[in-house]
Amino acid sequence: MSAKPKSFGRQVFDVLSSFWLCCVLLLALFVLTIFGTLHQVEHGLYDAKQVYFHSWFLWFGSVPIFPGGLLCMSVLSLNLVCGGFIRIKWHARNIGVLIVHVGIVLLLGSGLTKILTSQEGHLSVVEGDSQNFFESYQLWEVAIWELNNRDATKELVIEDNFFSDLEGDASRTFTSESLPFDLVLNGFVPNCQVLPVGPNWSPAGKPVEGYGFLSKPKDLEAERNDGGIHASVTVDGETHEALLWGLQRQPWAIQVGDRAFAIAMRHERYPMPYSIRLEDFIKEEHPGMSMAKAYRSKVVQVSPTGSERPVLIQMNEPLRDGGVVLFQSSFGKTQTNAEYSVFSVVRNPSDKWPEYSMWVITVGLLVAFGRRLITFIRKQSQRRQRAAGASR
Amino acid sequence: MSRQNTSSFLLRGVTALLLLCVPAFAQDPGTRTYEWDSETIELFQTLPVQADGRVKPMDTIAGLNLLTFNGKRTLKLEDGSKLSSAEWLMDVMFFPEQAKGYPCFRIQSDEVLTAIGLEATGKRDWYSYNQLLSGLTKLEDMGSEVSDKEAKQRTVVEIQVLKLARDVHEFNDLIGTLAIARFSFDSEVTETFTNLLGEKRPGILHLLDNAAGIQAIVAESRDGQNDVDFNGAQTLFGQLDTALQYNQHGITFMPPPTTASDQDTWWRLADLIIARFQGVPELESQMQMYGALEHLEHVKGDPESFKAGLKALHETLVSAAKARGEYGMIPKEVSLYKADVFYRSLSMYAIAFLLCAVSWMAPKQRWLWWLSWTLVGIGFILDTYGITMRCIIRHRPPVVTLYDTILFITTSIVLVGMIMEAITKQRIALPVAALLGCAGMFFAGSYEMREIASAGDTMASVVAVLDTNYYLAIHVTTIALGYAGGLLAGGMAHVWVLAKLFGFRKDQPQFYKSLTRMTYGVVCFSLLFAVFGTIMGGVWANDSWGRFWGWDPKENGALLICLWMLLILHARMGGYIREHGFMSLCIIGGVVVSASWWGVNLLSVGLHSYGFTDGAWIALRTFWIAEAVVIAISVVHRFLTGWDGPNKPKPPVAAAS
Repeated sequence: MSAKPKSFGRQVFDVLSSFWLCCVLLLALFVLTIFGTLHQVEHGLYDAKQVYFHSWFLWFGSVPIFPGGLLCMSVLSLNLVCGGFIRIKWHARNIGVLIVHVGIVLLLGSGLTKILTSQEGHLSVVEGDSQNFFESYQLWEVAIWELNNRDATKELVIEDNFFSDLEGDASRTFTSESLPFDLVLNGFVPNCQVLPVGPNWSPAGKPVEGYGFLSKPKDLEAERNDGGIHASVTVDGETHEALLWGLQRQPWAIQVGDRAFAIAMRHERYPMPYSIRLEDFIKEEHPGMSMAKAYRSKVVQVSPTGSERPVLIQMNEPLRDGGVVLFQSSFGKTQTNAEYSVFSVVRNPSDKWPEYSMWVITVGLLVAFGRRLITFIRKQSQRRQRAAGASR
Repeated sequence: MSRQNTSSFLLRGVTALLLLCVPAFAQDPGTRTYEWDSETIELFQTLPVQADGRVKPMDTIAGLNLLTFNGKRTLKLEDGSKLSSAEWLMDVMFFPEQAKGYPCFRIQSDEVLTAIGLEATGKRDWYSYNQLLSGLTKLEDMGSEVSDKEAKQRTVVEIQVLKLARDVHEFNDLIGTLAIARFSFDSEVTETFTNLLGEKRPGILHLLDNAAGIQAIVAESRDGQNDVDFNGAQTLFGQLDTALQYNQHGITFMPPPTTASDQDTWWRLADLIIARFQGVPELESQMQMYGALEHLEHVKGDPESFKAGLKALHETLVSAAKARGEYGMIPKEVSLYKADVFYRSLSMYAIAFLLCAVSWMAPKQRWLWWLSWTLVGIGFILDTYGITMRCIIRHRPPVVTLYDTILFITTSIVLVGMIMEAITKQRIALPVAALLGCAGMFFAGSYEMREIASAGDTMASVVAVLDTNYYLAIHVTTIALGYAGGLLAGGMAHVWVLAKLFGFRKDQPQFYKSLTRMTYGVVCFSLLFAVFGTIMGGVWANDSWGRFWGWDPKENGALLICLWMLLILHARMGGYIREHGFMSLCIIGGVVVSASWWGVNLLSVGLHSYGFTDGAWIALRTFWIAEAVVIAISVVHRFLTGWDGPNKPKPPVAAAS
């Protein structure tokens, strides 16, 4: 009598829930982690993340040669659900393992939530000043506002993902009912410098008024890249062109009739649910040394209703409120010798999930391994008793 | 004391000045004409000083410096006599010309000597300052040149040249500590000053006592346009300026007065001179300390007077430090270094391992086995005492620096090994623990010098992000326990592989099964702490830098351990590996731990690059190659002999468990 052939669905489920798939994925992640770590030495952390950990595949030219971190972790999650929850025997002896798997799902879930929903950036504020937004470290935006009516709420913003793919000749036109012109963006350069066009170098894209983008290799630290893009608008049949550059101090101004508009490229900005006013920045050093012992910022959290709350933000003690977290990150002095403080800011709904998952996984491991340890000790004791009996 | 990059100008200047400064006390080079008695040494050892951001005993300064220069905490002289580090430092400070003849600089390669234009003298490794004297200018030039190079581009000889240049610089700083107290100046610059200062060539104390009078003469000469006195004052201050140069980087052993602007930083002698002439009030206590030091210089040829003077200085300094709440840990630290617990525990583990090996050959001699147990137990108690004292002295959890990780991981391995042995009684876990304990403590001793060279101390101050005892206590210790488990599992796997290879107890399969079960338990232990420690590290990073996971090399290293341990357990549960495969993967697990513990620091990227890792790459690579050879031999042997029987996987299990 032959066994009933398994359905296709069952076969897929068997594969997805198998130990060998788990082992292969763990090994693949192990290999990816090694190469992703070594990659950082020459290419920097950001590039390593893009190539190894935040990718579906590793590519050799246009050929996928190895599963990327995203693929491995996604399939591992499926394997965990199929093998670790559905196929596993729901028995008292497996309770520890089940708890561990719950913790791992929570941990992976927190990572996924962060990738999909989080915003990261920094907020720099000089002593005595206030700030109510934070800026991305890497992502750019093109902002357009009316010069005689500058109100942040009326700014039009084109986010990074709408133009960062426009490398080379590719262009995209942006329109808005509130604008009397269309904006055409093209030739995005991830890292560049604006220089007068000369005989010794070729600009990336079309020069404008004798200036062009000198393309530079991407920096190992992605936040050090200074992006640039060509912009053009047509007003009354006349085309105006400009180079928008991340480090540009003044925006590009366009006059349309009696209305004046400014267009600028800058790091993406995210609004804060409250303002932060820096009262005092304090740096403490170890006695007789230049090594910092502590960084502290005395700030006042100002709500939209105007109520104020004094807060101390220091290393390892961030401010968590209103869905954003502010961390003491850096400091410095302006050209006028005023001290400023820099905070890393993160908006992440899964901020505390890893901590919860850590406790869940630990409890699970303690239950699973504790049970085995007790069994092991009991067997060792029985073995010795048997050996003692045999020798008598 | 901060170890700054050598400055050719400063070194040359100070060297030249020192050579000119102390002819009155010149001794025959290397000949020790004076011995300190034990009470004097003890008083000196327990003098409080401030260095590397904390108050510590003079004995620690002496030990750390001599260890850096010499490779040992004691110094052997040409005549065969031995000096303790405290005796050496006393000689350096009070009899510098004599100390310049001591062979305290260890130079491992003759190429270093050739590079600075000297000739190697036979097979000796130790040289005195005087023997290096003619090469110091070139040494300084080369040191500056090498320090400007990127660390990765330095050759082995260049690294050693740089170290020697820094050691010589530090030696000059130590000599310069009391140079001011030896200084005498010409007071007869003008008649007015001669009338004020009286005696011929007085010391600095006399100058300081008359600071107000000197300033009054200066003010008067300036207002009255008395060029003679004004120029005389300039000559006087010129001499003072020369004296100050001796003490730019010396030991800081003077608590500041309550009127000082910076209350936390202790003073050098030079700081007192500057403060005195700046008119800082309430310097009586500091003047008393300085007076005691200058008195010591005057009476150093008379043992009893010197001891009485040192006692007076000790009382003044200790009471000042106690008043600031900074003396409490000094006697404890002196006791810790005197006890030399980590070296003693190394000896205990080494003897215990040898006794274990003998007891395998003579299993009926039970006393041998119990003696091994006792020695391992004593070694563990010594290590625990040492680690606990370091925690108390620093007010920190056990693991803060890379050196701490070695001590903690080694002690944890010994503890887990003892527990395993108590449970299984197979005479396996204890010898493995003793061997790893011995190796770990040897490694700690070798690394200590390197950490001192990079951080100045093995109990150095920490950067702002590490200033949290909560995370240091939980994250760092648990991840270190994960490392300990991984290394112990690797060690047990070696026993299994070697036993198979040499046919040890080949008729006792139960022995091998038991060993496998023990190793499995250790892998579970390692996974538990590695996972908890790794995620806890992420939680800390989330509170410090605003992200849980950043794919930083050190984070990745911890992840590699977790992934590997999970792979071992799942492959075993799935039946894809049996005993041999399991043990081979455990050996690789040890390699993964070493890569995570040391390897990622060598990449010099990321937020966790810390510790002094020059030369670690060679040791690490040697370890990895050795482990690869062990695995290769075991695999070949396994296929030739079929250790586990047919390598068929177990029937697939119904579900992940």
